[in-house]
Amino acid sequence: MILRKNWSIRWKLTMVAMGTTAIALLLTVAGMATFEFIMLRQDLREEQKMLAKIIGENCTAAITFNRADDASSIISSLAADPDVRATAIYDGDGNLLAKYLALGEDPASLPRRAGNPGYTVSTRFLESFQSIMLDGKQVGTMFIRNDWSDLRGRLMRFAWVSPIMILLAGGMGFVLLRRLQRCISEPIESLARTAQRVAKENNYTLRAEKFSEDEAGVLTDGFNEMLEGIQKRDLQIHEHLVEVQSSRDLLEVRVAERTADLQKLNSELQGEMVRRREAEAKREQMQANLVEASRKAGMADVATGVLHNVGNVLNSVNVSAQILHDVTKASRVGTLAKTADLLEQNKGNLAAFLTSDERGKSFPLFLSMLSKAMCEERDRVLKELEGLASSIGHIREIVTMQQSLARVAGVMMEVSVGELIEDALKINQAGLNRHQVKVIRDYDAEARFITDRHKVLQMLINLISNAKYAVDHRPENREIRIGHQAAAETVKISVSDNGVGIDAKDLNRIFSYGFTTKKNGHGFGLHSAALAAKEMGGSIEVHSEGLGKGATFTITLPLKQEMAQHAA
Amino acid sequence: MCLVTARRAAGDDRGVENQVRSAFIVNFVQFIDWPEGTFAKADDPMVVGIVDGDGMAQALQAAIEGKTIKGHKLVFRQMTAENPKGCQVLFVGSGAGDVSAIIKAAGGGPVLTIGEGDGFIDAGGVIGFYIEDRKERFEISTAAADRAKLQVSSKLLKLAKVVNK
Repeated sequence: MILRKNWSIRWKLTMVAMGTTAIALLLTVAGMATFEFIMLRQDLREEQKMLAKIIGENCTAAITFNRADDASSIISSLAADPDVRATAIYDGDGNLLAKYLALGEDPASLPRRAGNPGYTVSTRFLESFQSIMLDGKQVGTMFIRNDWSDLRGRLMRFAWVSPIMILLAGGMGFVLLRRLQRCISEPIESLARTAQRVAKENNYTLRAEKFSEDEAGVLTDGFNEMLEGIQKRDLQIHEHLVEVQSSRDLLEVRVAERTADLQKLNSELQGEMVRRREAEAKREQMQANLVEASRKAGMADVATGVLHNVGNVLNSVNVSAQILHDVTKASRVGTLAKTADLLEQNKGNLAAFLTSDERGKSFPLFLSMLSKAMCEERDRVLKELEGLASSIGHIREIVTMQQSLARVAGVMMEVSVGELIEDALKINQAGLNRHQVKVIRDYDAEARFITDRHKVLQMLINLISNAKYAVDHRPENREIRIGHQAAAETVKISVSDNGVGIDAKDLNRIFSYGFTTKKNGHGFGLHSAALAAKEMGGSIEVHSEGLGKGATFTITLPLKQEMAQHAA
Repeated sequence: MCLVTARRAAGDDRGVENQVRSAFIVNFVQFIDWPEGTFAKADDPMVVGIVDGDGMAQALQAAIEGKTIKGHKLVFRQMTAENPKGCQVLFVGSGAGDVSAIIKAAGGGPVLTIGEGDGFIDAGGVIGFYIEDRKERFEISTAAADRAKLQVSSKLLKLAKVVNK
């Protein structure tokens, strides 16, 4: 862009107007000067032509009749024109007939012979040869030399003066322009100012002043309309905002209410949940407690059983230990030591001591009796130790068995009746042995069924233990009988004894919690056994004729699946 | 057109003189207008007659040979003194006899009567040749021209001695 972008409209307009005007003027001047120049030349040529025609025609007779003087006098009339510097007439053969030279012209500069018709232009002169015609035929030639330096000078002066004139005119034009261009720039400037203000103050109530009905006016109208529109919209937006705000406030209130409601509900729920959880926990706890209690009961049973059985065995252990202690205490080792001392005392003359002393003499016999006694001691100790070892091993068995039983409690598995009964008996073995109780086995050793091994074992251990205690009163012939009966849907295992029996009045209470006839009993055993049986879907029954008539406890268990005796 | 300005010399000079005069005659035609109606058509020939004397006829014939002036072809005709009519240009030699009678006889129509010697104009001729300063000159009678209804160009008149008889 020739115009710089950041010039103001006013300046641009001025520049445009001045620029275009200047260019136009310059072009005009140049064009006119050139035109004038060309015209001048053209005019001069025409003039010469004209002169030639006129003068020449006047000369035709002179030329035809070769009258030099006459020709001379005719062309001398050209002296009237100061610009004509030289003229010459040539005859039909091209020879000089007559000439005219203005003052100061050099005669030698005149062409000697006629040249071809035409013009020669130089800085000072315009020269031409013109044909002189008579009746359509060329009868002679005329030479004219015009001095046109004046005219040229005038043209040049024009060329010099014009720029000055242009400048002056431009100056005036500029001044005029300053006023006139306002009618274009002012509306635009005003609009621009208004726009700036609007933008700066964000004030949409402003309006631009309208100056004219032209495009600036259209712009102004449009601008004002836009402002109008923006103002209206602002108002609308504002109103909407107010609405929205009030809606939002209302909404907040509602939300707060709802939130409060929800919170209340929530806390209620929380409370409820806490309560439930507590109840649940309590229930779980209770259940755990129950389980624990039952477990403990079971365990207590087991522990009781173990303790009972171990206790029995421990009696033997205790006795053995005591015996060992007594024997060791009464050992003849002391005597041996004394004998050794005696020998030591007499080591100087050992031979004499042995042969002469009273005591010495009896040494061999003494030693042999001593050794016999000590051998007896040793044998006795050994025997006791063996028994001790056996008892301890038994204890370990009992404990191990309980441990293994404790681990698999609650698991339904296939058991063999025989194994079950034998295990139960094994645990009570020591006691049974000590109390010299005879066990009569009356069961089908091959029979198998699915049950909770641990529970049944516990029951059996209990019953057997009870039976053992029951027969304790008899001085002799203590008997326990283990029986087994398989039916279509049940298995019955019975433990009978010929002990103290049970009084009819106690029959109902015998399975109650805490009922015991034992001196140190807890009353758990039968109760937990009854519970266990019920848990498994079965029962325990007791039958007794009365006191001193023995009793029979029968465990009845439902048969899930009893394998055939010899099935795989 | 070859114009020769010759000095007069005996014998030869006369020939030259005739040539010059003949050339002049041809030139005269250039500067004289015949009245309307002289020629039936624009390109009708112009008859140049001679009532001779003294070798002028050959010179004149030679001079007008092939020339066309203002559209009219120049045609030579040898005339007699008795019957000089029928030409537009008539040269009457000095040896022709009674010049005025011939002129009268030729008259009526527009005829450019050209002659030589002092008495020619008096006799009623239009253009008469004479020698002055050893140069060929001619005098023109405007009255005679008027009588013949001929228009003589001022340019020609300027070159001639104008006589108002």
